[in-house]
Amino acid sequence: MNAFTVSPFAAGAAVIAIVVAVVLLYLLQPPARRRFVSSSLIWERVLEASRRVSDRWRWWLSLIIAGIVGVCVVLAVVRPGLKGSDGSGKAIVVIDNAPTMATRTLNGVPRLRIAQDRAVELIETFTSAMRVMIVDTQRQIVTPAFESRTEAIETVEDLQLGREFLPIVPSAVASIPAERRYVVTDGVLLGAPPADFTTVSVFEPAENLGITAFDLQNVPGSPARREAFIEVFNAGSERKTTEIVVSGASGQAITREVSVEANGAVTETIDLSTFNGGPVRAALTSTDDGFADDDVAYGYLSSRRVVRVTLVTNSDRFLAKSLISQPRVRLNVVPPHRYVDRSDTDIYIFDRYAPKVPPSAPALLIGPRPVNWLPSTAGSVILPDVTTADARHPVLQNISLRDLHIEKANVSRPPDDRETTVLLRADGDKVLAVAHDGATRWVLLGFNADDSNFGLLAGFPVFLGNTINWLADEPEILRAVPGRITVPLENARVIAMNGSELPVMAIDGEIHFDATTPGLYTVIGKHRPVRVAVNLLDRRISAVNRSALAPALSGSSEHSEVDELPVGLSALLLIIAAALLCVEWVAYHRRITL
Amino acid sequence: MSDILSEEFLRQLEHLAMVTRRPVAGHLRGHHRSRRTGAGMVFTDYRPYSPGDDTRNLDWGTYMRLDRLILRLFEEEADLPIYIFLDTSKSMGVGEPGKLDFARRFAAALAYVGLINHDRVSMVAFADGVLSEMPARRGKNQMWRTLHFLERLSPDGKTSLQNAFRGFFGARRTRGLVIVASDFLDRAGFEPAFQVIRQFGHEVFAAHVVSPEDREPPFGDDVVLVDSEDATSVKAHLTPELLDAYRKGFADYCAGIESFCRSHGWGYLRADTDSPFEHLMLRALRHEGLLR
Repeated sequence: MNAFTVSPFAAGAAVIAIVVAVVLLYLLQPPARRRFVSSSLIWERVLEASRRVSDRWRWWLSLIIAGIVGVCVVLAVVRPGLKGSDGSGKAIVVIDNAPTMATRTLNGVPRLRIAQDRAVELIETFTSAMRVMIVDTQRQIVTPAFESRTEAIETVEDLQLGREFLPIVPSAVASIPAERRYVVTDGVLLGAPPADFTTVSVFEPAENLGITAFDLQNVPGSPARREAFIEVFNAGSERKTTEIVVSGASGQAITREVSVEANGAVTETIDLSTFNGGPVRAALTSTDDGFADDDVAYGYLSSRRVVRVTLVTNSDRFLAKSLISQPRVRLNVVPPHRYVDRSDTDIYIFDRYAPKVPPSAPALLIGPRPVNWLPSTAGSVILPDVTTADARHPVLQNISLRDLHIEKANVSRPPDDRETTVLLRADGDKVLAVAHDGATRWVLLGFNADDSNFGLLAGFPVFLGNTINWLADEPEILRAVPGRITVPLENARVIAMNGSELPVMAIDGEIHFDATTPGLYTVIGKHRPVRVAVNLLDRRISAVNRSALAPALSGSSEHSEVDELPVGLSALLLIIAAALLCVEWVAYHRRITL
Repeated sequence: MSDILSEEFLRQLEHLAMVTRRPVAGHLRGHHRSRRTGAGMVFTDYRPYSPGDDTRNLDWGTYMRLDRLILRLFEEEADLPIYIFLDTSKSMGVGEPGKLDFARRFAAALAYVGLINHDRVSMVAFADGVLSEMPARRGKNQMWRTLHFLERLSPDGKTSLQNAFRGFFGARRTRGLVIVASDFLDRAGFEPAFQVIRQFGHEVFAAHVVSPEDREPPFGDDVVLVDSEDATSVKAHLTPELLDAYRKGFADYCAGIESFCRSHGWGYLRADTDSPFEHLMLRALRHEGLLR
């Protein structure tokens, strides 16, 4: 403790404040009482005879006490930093703004608001010279930096909830040397913060029923039937009953009552055959729900049209069975020598065969022989390793190709145009699969079921379904969580459910827009619309009580682990000032109040 | 008769009389020894007869033996001029009970004693000079004038004993008994003032009127002490030690006055206003030799 580190301006302000405080203390001293005596004659003699040295110092002593009190109060308020006492004079405050921080406490205040208040309280306990870095777990603050207390408080107040699933304390932040480190969190999604961080808990148990799964599917083998699959999770501590209301765009609605055990989930399958195609909304009706974002989910129900598929193959029964099991599919199997391009076919699937002229309907070509209208062949490759899969393309959505093993494949050389998309690449930049979005769509696989284990993978039926839907030009449905959403379309507009158009940022052939709440958004591109179903379907988020921290005291966030904070110098200074004021009062002004 | 003195107390006073240590210089017949010779009961001397002398005082036995006319001289009894000085400065209004009220009763009682013994009683109210004066009165029936004079007095002005005494005794006054009822809080000091009286040969009795507040200040801590007479102030932090010092200083001041009076053969009485007034008059003044 050797020198103040305040700026000259702050030092001047502190001096002025001290002077003002001393003057105020002086003025606050009650005037001496006037007492009338018969004559001051004897008093003057006595005072002159009994005046001691200590009496002369008494005024100065009172002034010194007032000065010390003023200094203590000013230092306690201004909190100037002291060099060389305890480290770098820097502090890091990490604020958890994960989705679960939207949970409302018993007071109705979201956890994030409490966390912001706690962070501000923390920062206000710092010395004025201390530099503070605010970090949020959702990376809204892209480049955290040390800033003044005032700026840090403003940064805290500007924080918004994020939608990322696995927030953590950034490792880069954890390695920054700082005198004080705090993490303000509810402990649900953040996990264990680094050991050298002091955890400030804002966790408070809350009731929550949430939809953790919502899917709309056509029933395989029954083209006219559609079903909704819903999972409801109860994060509360008691069994709860709720209603699931599934409603469609045309006014249809189905209500189902379910009872969910504490920390349990129930699944419901609801027949939506009576629904027309279009947006579908599922909602829960429950009271005292602390987390509202998972109480509603959106989907898009495809049309009820039956897709006529012609499979051109020699003998692949496996492929025929896989296609029959696809919903809406009415399958016709013909051998290659009997193939005729017919108008009653919606989609062709060519197995190890390709017609010499492009078919009039969209087609999936599996390991075809080279023809002119397809990309030229660049030879074949043995045991290629699939290095790149375009998972954003509708054909490959929701498919894991990690276990794909290919013994032999033909390598294509697709044209470099906007209509052609490479779906799969192998090492050496070899193209194994291509999708063409031209006047007539087609998908080319450079390998067949016999040369790979693709047909045995769990994702193969999904691949067939995606391909049929894409080729049949069904509205494309993307699934996303609230937050910033990217759609691989250029020059597209985004329309929300209420008809308003959202601001869009176009970068490098893609558009980005912010969907902060669950809903169904329509992205209108050059050729066709894309539906984006934004839902918060994640049990990790809905489990708002699964915290690693002890509950903070209800109604008052002043307690909890903040008590572990070291006793501030300001508190000590205020205690000293109070003690000195007591001394001053006892020594000089007791008569005023006694 | 008045609120100042009760009838019962006045009856008790009727048995008292003023006592002087020296012969008085009164001009009228009274009950006090005087230096003059004349008609009296106490034989003092002889002198040769001169024509015109009262032949009733001739010592006829001596004439028979010596054949000379010798006149017997007797000590003439005269009245006593009593000058009662009453301090009416502002300081006399301080305290509870008030010092002026006490002094007023004191003066009334002494005046009554004097009047019933056919002494000439003069009353002087003073502060920084003579404020008002009641001419010499004699006889019991003058008591109502005395009381009327006293009732009109109120505390005002500074104290200047010297100015008062010089002002009053500047005119020719018959030597007599000067009774001063005051708190003697005079910045010029009491000694020069009393020297004025002593210069004119009066006998003095000092009644030092003291209030409890003068004797025991009831306040503590930081105070501004304001002089009731000149409004000068002095700031003091009244510690117990300082209060003890004040008590000692006040006692010394009182002792100084008493010592001065005693040294000149004068009477001194410290009259505490919170002490019984009747006791003071009937016992203390007798003890001090002013009354008998």
